[in-house]
Amino acid sequence: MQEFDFYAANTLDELLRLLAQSGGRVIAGGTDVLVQAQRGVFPASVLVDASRVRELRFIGQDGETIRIGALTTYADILASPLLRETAPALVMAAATVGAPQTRARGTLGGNIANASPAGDTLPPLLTLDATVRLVKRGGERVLPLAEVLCGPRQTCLEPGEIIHSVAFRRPSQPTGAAFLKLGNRQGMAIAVVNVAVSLPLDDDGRIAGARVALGAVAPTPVRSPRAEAVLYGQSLNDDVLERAAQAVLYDIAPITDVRGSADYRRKAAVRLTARALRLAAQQIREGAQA
Amino acid sequence: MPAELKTVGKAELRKDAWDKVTGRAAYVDDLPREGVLVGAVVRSPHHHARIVAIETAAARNVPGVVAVLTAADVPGSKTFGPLVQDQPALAFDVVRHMGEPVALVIAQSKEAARHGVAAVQVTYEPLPAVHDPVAALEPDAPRVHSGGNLLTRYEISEGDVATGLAAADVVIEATFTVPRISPAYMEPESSMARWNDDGTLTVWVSSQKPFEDRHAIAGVLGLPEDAVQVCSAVIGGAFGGKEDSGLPVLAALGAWATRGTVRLINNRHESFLAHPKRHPARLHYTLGATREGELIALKAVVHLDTGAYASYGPAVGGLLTEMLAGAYRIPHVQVETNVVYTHSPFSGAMRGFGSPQAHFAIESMMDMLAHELSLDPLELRRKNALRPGDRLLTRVTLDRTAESLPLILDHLAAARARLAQKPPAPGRVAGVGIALGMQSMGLGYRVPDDSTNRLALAPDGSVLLYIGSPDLGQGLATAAEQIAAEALGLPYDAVRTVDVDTSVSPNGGVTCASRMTYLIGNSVMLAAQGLIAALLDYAARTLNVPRDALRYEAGAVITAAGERVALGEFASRAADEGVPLVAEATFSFPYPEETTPKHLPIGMPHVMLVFGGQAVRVEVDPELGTVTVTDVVAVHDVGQVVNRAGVEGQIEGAVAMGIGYALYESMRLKADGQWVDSFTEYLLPTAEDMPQIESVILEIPEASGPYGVKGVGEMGLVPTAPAIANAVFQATGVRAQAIPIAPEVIARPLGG
Repeated sequence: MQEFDFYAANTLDELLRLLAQSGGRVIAGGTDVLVQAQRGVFPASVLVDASRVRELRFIGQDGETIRIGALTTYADILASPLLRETAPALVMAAATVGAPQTRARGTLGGNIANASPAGDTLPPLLTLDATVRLVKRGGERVLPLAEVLCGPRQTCLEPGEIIHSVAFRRPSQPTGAAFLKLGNRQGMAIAVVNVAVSLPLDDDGRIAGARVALGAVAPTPVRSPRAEAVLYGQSLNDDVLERAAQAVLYDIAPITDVRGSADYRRKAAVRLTARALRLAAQQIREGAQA
Repeated sequence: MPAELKTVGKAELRKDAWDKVTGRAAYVDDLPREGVLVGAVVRSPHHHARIVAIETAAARNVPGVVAVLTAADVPGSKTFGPLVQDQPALAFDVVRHMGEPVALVIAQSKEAARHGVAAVQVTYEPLPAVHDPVAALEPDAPRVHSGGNLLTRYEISEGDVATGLAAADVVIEATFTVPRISPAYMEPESSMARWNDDGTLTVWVSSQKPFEDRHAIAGVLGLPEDAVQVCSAVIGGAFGGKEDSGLPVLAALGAWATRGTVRLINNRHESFLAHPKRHPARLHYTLGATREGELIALKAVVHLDTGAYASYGPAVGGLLTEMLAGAYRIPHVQVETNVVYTHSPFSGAMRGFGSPQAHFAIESMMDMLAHELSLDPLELRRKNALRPGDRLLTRVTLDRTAESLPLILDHLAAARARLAQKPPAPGRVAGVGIALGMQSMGLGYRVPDDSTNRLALAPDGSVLLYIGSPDLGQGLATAAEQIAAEALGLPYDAVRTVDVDTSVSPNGGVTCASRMTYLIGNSVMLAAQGLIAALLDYAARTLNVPRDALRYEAGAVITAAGERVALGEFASRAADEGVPLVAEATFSFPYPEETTPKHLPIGMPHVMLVFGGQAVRVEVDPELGTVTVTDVVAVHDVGQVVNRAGVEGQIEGAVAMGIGYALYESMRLKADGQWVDSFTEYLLPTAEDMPQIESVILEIPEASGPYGVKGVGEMGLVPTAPAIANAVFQATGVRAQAIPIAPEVIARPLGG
């Protein structure tokens, strides 16, 4: 176990001040930080605890925009009727993170800040075109999620900057969305591959702007523009969905590691994408019937 | 078996249950902290290296560090080991595996100890390492020990295998690979040692063998054994991994050097690297049979990776060799087992002790043969199953325990038929597989295999059971208490176990080998007779009547007039008078002449075997290759059940371990040269991965067992992994010859 200087903040202001003064890193739920600290590989020697900063723990609606505070836990996401309605893939992803204990402590902001290629909430957020609000003393900026994630375990966060919240627009059309994850066991699994899709339909019943995003198949979670292009303007049929799934192969670059080989990940990415697309399509059909 | 048992077989509550679930049980980490120094170990970052220099001055200057010890500070024997004395307390000259202890830092706090460890400067000259047991036998392979890398080789030949294979209608051949497994107990290894003013040491251990720990500690410190007292703390699981004295030895060394009290607890990373694990193995099998499925000949060549130190490797190799033909009669057998040193963390005892590796191979082969011959795998087993009177490849004659095999097969047939009815979930395919399992009880012929235990009447009329072997958490004490209560005709609550303390407890032997309830039970029954005799002697003197005018019955002495005098009255009176009412008895594992011949092809064959079998239903996702175990029906002959919840707990826990073996667990070397040594990458089955488990418990009494008891500690995991592999084959047609079964081996090709 690494040793740290430890500060605890009670308010957002205090958090930003402590971070600026100490040059430390934020700890919230600790579900990633502590695992790395146990191995002695966490890249900081000062921790600033954000878990008491209540103003960063919220799920809210602002017109057509949904906002989720960085300290919102996976369990909070699971319990949110608003997110079940507007971001079902995100809810499905939150349900697969770790164990109940992990979900009670781990936070959405932490999942982003950890920037694991396998982070489960990241593909759903990519399919929502989510933006991330970054705040530091004397400034803030809003970036698309893809620009926040710049490499395996690397974000673009500047020193003293924190993830404040995530925002996305409520889907304006009937949309099917799904998240699927392949792990090496049922419980507490890290993704070998994970996939999120969203399929909005236009008034003519054609796929408007589909989103397909995958994790653990590239240095960061990635969207698959090729798969999205295959889907664009098409009607929902299994042939299209299958062709779109095959197209993800052009947009991923998996590696071989202890959880699976590159070949297996390619195969699994295609199959999981096909299933996620069918699941999303089925949701739309069921929604139309309802 | 007596017609009516009052306590044995009843669901008595474990007396340690409340303390454990409320957190009051005192594991080593819970022992008092005041004035206790903290030990931390400097460990090798290399698989194999020469130690050029160890610089400790900087570490000694770290505030709070009390001592920094190296091999040079070891006053007695520099090495220890249960079978081969090859394991250094602290490495000298070379390190032979990653994680090997090189120096010991003793400090006033965890933080100081950690800083001390970081400040010890060891200069290494890395040397080439070998991790594969086959490659390690090449002439030019890097040497682990100067005597060469072959630790032990067993060769047995019965009949004429070449002729047998030539006569066979069908011959199948395959190589199986099984992984290195961590026991992964909840409580990692831990020990605390105190130097006493009178020049003795008291050492608390989480160990299966306090008496052997005492021997190792005394040897390393150059002390007489009676200067070392070893006490068993509450133990959070062991599974064979706590048959290693490494940590108690270091804690004792620290206490001796500082004249203080030192606690040493491995973290999980250390537990993975520096404690015994199940041997990884490669097993090459050739099996011949007639067209009708009668087994004719088996040839097997096995390489076991025992790692850097012998530990119990030679014994594991021996038992594995005995088990290579499984529960089958095969006239021509030729087997060879090589136990090989490598630069891997050492392997040793682990639940099953070689049997799980052998069974994965033979039970997979049986299904492969059935497939080749278009026979039912279950009927193939029935045709070839061992029968009473059969001679095993060890030349031991099998006794009546094999009577259970046809019954087990009947239960498996019914379970298989029932499980096959269940339709798979959409998109999945389902399959049901079976496997048989055989496990030995006891340490083996010619190995001292005794257990001594003591019963003492307390002043309040209750009975103290001085158990000679620690309860590892499996409920051994509960079983022993139930047997003692039964033998004395007392209620279960009247018997209380005293934890093992080598200064007061008799030596009950190492808690291992599925033998404890059998062995302790027999010993306790003998001690109960002794205690009754002592009580009647005392009662006769006290009442001034002839001894034969009195008899004992259910907690009371009955006089000639029929008057009942409660045990408690004599107990308190004897206590007042300072008369001890105590009886101790030793039971030795029987090796009867009729089954155990004088001339044997192997050093320590086992003569008492227990049998079981499991039917497993899996669902497989054919596209992704993921396997879900949905149902396990576990059929085991355990003899008389002492405590049903305890037996079911053993079986269910073992099945979980077997599922981990089949599907998830492997401590392997990664591409970066590091071992998988954390629960992030070493996957245990979670609650979500556990199937429905139905235990079918056969109670065929063992004549030599207490009330008919056999054993159940190990065999529950023996059939699990091959039954899963066989079920996967039934579901997909893909034969997994390596475990854990990789989903990508099962998954259909892309576009398929």
